[in-house]
Amino acid sequence: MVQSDLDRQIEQLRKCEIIAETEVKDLCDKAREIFIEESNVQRVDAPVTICGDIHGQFYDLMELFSVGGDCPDTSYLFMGDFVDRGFYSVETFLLLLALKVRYPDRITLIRGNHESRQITQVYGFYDECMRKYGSSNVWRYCCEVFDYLSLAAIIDDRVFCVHGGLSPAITSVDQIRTIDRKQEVPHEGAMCDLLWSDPEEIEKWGISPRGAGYLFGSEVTQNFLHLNGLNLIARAHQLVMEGYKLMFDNQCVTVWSAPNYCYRCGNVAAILELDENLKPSYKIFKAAQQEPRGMPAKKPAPDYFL
Amino acid sequence: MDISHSPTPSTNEDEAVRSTNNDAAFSRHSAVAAGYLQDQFIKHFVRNSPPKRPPLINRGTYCRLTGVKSILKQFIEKTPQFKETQIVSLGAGYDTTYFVLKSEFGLSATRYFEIDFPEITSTKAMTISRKRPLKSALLQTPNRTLAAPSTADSIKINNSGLDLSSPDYYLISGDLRHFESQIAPKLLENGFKTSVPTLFLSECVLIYLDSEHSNAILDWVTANMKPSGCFAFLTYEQINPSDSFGQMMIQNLRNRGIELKGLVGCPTLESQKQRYVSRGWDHAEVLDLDQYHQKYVSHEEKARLTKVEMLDEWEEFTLLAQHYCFTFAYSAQNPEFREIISDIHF
Repeated sequence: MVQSDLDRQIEQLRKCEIIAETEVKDLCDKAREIFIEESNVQRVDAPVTICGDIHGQFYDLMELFSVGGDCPDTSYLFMGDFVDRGFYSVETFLLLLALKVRYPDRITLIRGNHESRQITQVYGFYDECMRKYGSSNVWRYCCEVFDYLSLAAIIDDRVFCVHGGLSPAITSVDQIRTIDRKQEVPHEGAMCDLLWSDPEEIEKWGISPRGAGYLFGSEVTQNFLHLNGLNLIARAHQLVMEGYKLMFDNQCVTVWSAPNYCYRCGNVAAILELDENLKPSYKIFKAAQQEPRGMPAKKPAPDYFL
Repeated sequence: MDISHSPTPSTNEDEAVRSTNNDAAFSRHSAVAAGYLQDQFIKHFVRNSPPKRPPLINRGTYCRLTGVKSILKQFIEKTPQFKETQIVSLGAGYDTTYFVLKSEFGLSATRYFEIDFPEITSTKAMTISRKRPLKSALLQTPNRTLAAPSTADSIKINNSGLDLSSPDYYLISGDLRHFESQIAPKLLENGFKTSVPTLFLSECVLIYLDSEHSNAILDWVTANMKPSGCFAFLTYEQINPSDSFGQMMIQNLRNRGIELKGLVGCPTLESQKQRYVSRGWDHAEVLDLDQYHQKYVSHEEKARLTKVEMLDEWEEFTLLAQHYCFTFAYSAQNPEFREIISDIHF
């Protein structure tokens, strides 16, 4: 792929316009070559800006970049759930992927539970690909990329970032490194838990109402941090009306980056900026006011019980 | 539209409210198609390929339908003790509850009345008369104890196709904003009796009316149903407009031309309850859809639902479900009947 082609695709995607199917295939091939070299637990240097779920809310991702600074000027870590639910999963994921290929050291993408064949067929990404490309090819190319995404990241050996949370099958970060991650997200086991678990005000482990992953409590969080020489778990996965939520004496934070989630929830979103000394600051932002002029506002209205 | 029956001219706003009927039918169809619950009738009321709803909407629809059905089922089961009963569904739309209840419980001594805009009743009447499974459900007569108002057990289309009557099911066109002048006389014409224990049902209907009009309905019921010895009201509708989710809900629905007019006068669980308590009714219980899901959907059933469709969006489900509530209230003048109806709970 020629650099100028890639830059043109980025420009196109930034305008929320899709790129050709053949270009998607090239982009996915190139991205896979990069991800294949990355570790299950990717090392990232501070300063970096940590982001939670995006869920295809493209114009809100643009808002995020205007609040947090453009990539590559700002280094970003996205903790998964790029697709599903919103109306622009295709444009959102492909833009992040194109930025990854263009600036591999300035953007880190780790896997969320929605980066899965099964879930995307229920929650919208598959249907969106069919609608926008007329076939499932683009969905298949993207799913092949999903299988190569890292499962977690560690910033300056101190901040552990993962989409969901901890697993009773994992006590040390090194155990995560031994997982063969290049597969569809399994229904159970360590890899599943990392993408599905939630923190809960308990001490040890609980059963998750989601039917996958576990609830993890304060004591297991503290033990995990202590054993691995870490200060903080940053994770996403759960809608937080205030954009972020600290738990367990500031040892675990949920970051949520999809404002007015599903165009319905009325929540604000947050990103977490860690400076070179890992000092945290949160930036809160609201949903993009409206779609740019000239764009047909063809959004279907969000569902209610009527 | 028959102007003589409709003093209020039809507006775009009315049209938007009527469109919610399709939403409800699609949601019901989606939950049924996915396997949350059974309803062999809804497919006749949705055209072509109705949209699939996301899992959290399906789960909520399941809660709504099972909650309503649970109360109706208990009421129907009490019918032998009451001798006979009536159910009046306000703004019923393409709701198939009657057909489901009839096929499951027979409704041997219950008359079921549905009221809606003529635009909706005419389509529903036509669909019923054209679809054999609906027609034959209507004409099942299991150990009938009701004396049918018509001489033969048959289905009649009345009022230029706007209304329909059968031995125990009546479809009545009208505007709920004119309950006393328009709806009540038509109910009585169709064999409705103020002397029979009656349950009124309103699923997302009162909420679209100005308080003035919904109050008029409740006042009419309170004033006129006393001879029955026992009457009840079951509602399912939106609450909590003032938090950020609620504000977004109002804005999104407004973008579709739908105003939740009733929400101003009845914004909380407590005010839902007060609607009845303030009119001197004996009992009113309220619960939001999230509480219903937590308390009244069993562990086994939850496990089954998770197999039907994995629900990933728990925080969003909770938020959404906290903005809908059930209210069940009754007023009983006959002490014997009070005893009977006090048995009914979610």
